[in-house]
Amino acid sequence: MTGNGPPRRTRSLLLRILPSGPRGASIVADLDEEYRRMPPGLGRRHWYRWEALKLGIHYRLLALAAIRSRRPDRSNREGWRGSSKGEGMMKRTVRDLSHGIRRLRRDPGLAVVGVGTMALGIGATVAIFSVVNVVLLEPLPYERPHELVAIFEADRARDVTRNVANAGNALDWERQAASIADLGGAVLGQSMVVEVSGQPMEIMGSYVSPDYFRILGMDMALGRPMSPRAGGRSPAEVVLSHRFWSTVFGGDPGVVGRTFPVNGEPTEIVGVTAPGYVAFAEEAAFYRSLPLEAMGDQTDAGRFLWVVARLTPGSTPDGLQAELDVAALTLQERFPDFNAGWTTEVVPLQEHVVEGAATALWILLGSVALLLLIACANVGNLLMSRATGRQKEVAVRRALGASGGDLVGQLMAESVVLASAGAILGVGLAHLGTQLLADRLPAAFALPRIEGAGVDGPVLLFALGLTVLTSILFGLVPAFQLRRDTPSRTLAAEGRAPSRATGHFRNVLVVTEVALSVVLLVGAGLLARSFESLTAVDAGLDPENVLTARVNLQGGRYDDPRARMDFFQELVRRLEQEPGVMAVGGNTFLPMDGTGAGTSFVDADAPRPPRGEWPVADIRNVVGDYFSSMGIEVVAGRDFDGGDRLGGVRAVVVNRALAERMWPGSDPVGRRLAVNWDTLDEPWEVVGMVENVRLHGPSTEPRATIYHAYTQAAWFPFVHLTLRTSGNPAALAPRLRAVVAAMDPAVPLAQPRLMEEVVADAVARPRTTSFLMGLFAGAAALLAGVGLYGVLSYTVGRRVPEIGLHMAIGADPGRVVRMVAGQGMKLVILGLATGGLAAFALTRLLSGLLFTVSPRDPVAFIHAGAILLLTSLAATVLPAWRGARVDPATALRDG
Amino acid sequence: MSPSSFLGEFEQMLLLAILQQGDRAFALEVREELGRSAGRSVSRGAFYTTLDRLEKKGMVEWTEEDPGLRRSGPLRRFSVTSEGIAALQASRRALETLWRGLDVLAEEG
Repeated sequence: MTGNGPPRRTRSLLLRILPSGPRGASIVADLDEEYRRMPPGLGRRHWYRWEALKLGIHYRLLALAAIRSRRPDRSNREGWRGSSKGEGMMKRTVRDLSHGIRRLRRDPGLAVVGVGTMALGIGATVAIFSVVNVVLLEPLPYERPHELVAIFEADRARDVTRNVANAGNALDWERQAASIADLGGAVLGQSMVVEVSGQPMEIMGSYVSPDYFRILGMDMALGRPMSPRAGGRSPAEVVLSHRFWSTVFGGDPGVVGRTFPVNGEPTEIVGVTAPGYVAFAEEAAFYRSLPLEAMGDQTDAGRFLWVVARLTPGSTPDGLQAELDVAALTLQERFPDFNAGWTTEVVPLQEHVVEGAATALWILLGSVALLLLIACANVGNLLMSRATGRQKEVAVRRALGASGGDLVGQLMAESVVLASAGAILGVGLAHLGTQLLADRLPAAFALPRIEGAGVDGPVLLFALGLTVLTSILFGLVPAFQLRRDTPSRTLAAEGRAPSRATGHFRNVLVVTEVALSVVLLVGAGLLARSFESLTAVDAGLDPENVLTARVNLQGGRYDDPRARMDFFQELVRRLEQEPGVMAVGGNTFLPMDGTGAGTSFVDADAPRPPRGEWPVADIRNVVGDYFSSMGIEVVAGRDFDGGDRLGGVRAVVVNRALAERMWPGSDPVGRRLAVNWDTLDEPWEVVGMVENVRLHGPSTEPRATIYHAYTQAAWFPFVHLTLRTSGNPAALAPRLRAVVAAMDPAVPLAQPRLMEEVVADAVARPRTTSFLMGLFAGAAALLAGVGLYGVLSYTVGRRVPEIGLHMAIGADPGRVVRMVAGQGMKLVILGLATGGLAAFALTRLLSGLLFTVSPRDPVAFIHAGAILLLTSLAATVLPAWRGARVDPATALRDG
Repeated sequence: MSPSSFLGEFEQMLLLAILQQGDRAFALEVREELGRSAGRSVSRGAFYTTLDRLEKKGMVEWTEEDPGLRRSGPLRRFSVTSEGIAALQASRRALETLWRGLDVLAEEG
């Protein structure tokens, strides 16, 4: 009996589930009897198990219903806690969730792949969001930040926008515009030499108007802001930035009231700013107070003031702009020499702070969102393949009266569990990710508050939202798919083919994945090509083997420009003696280092145009053999030499851009320029012309530049030395420090860097953006490949009997491979076409980030297609190979 | 007869099938009879549950039969009680009353 009887384990299990006594025993006996009447074979054992399963489920559900209906009292008693319906839902949810967890535990493969994929998608999205949130979304840490605006000057005719302002003009705006409640300003980059614990240090301080912190509505962490009349007081007062206080003073709370020398002058520390962004003056180590009236006016100073204003309640930036447009006209009339052509530009402070980086960050967030969508499609696909195997179960439940809602609830529970596990892991990944980003991003984006990016309350809330959204996305689809199949049809199908619709939908998912990956790959390709052409730009200099460091002669002994000229001449002479040094030079502002000076100028021997129409040039004072140390080619005339000293010919070297603009087609050497800096009465003679250098970064076209010899124009107290070496330039840094210290131990040496680093930093943002985008696109292609693999191997598995039959009647394995590959390629090509079209429409968004690369660059599109084709080919090979190895005998027997 | 004793369609069919099978009304045969005459297979679970319900109402009873030559466990042979027969007749009467005068419509249908 054992060999031929009904499956024993199934039978005894069923007996345990059925009602005890003869009632249950007789049901099993009926089933046994029916079994005996069937022809022997594998089929009838399957049949028995299946019937037993259905019966078992039926009686289990009956028992459950009986238990529930036996507890009406309890639900009444607890009725005050909420409606009994609500309680039922709660219970059902808990039951569904634990069901979901059980299923995932039984299917570790699904759990690992699903949770891993979701963790990747959610983790990447949360990490980027944490940056976007802290940089772009969170309001600035000030009182009523929406009332704060930045005000710039602009000269649109000469293509100058967002220019810093003149203090006299700013005072005038405050007087004339009713929308301005308060106006203040900051002068940045005031290099100062301080002594902390006996060590000289060059740091960047900032002068701010006395009520600057009050206008911002910014708190002090310690002490108080500078007193309004601090300018004339002794000792002078200073407020430390929070960062400077914590790094240099070790966060010492007793620092307030202490005095230390700044530029040789005793200065009292009166306060420390609260952590967080100080508008404009983010980088400043400390702040000194200077009334706007003392910052010069339209007659004796240029434009160097960063202006912030608080609007009166109810005013808008647009309203203020209209008022200032009028004020600008008055100012143009009053100071035609200084203000001709200049207007104003009002920008909400928050907008100004994030400008430039906003596009890149939004695009990165969009990219990870696409990646997350792909991850959802992938997991949805995975769940559908499992769900297909469960159609029977679902059909039986429905036949026994489970409502559609019950079933959707149970299937959804699984995806909720999956998404939640993925989210927990993903938030962990995001935490690591933000730490990595915090290392890379500040250099790339130079944005305030970016260090603050991390997984905090709002970010967790966002992660929670993502989890809910994604579990709905990939959970609901298979759930509804299963609901659509009617029980009778599914039961009749006896577990063979899934419905055509299900297979079709899975194909749609794969096509979507491929299409989204194409969009990401094209985007990444465009950014990579743009970055490539950025680095390929001829910046006009050779940064290899060049060491730079900044020497600042602020204060006391070096107030006399002659002392500064002598110091640098001697320093260059001594450095030239050092072994391994090939050329020594220096420049007041390094190329591609972010800052610089500029002014207007005219041809001294031609009729002068009106003041508003004078051209503008960058101004650089150079020491030693600057051009040869930086590999900048002298293309006409001569380099500066020892003869260019005070009292000699006032010599300038200009760049090619200036020469071509002023004297197109003729030799610039011997021409004379009137430069609007110290005096217009003594013109400068052009003695040479050098090749263009991209001073403002590789993506900015070279502008007119005038170089002066520091020995004739020591207009700044600091110089960035540039040393070209024969060997490793970094090895020379200690010697450089020693030589400077030997000349004057009180002179600090700051920012020793390789020129290559300076150039690399200038493209840090596009490099980081394209790196991250490449990472996301790579992950997307991988996920799409996995998705395709899943669908194909599932198809092959499902068609094993059919393939076996074909092979049994003589089809060759090649045909099987072609069939599988053909199905795969059909999906891929559909995806490529859709994705290509989408990318064609979407890459416009990138145009602001692209340098010399068209958003429709065919190379990027072709590369994206090729990468996906290769990935897809790899994903197709294994299923196709498995298909071709189907053993006809086994296939037919098992089928 | 209380209104709660009105029979559902499936209950009527089941009772009739038991009557049709007479003293051969084992579960297996009744279910086959149902399948033949109703033209559709009957879910095993629904079948036994309905039998239990009819038994609770006192319309069906069963005896255990020794399987004898059969090698299965004890099988139940079902029979319809007088209350069951009464319920069937009541249902039929109710239907016939409702059908009265509608024969033409039925023919045309």
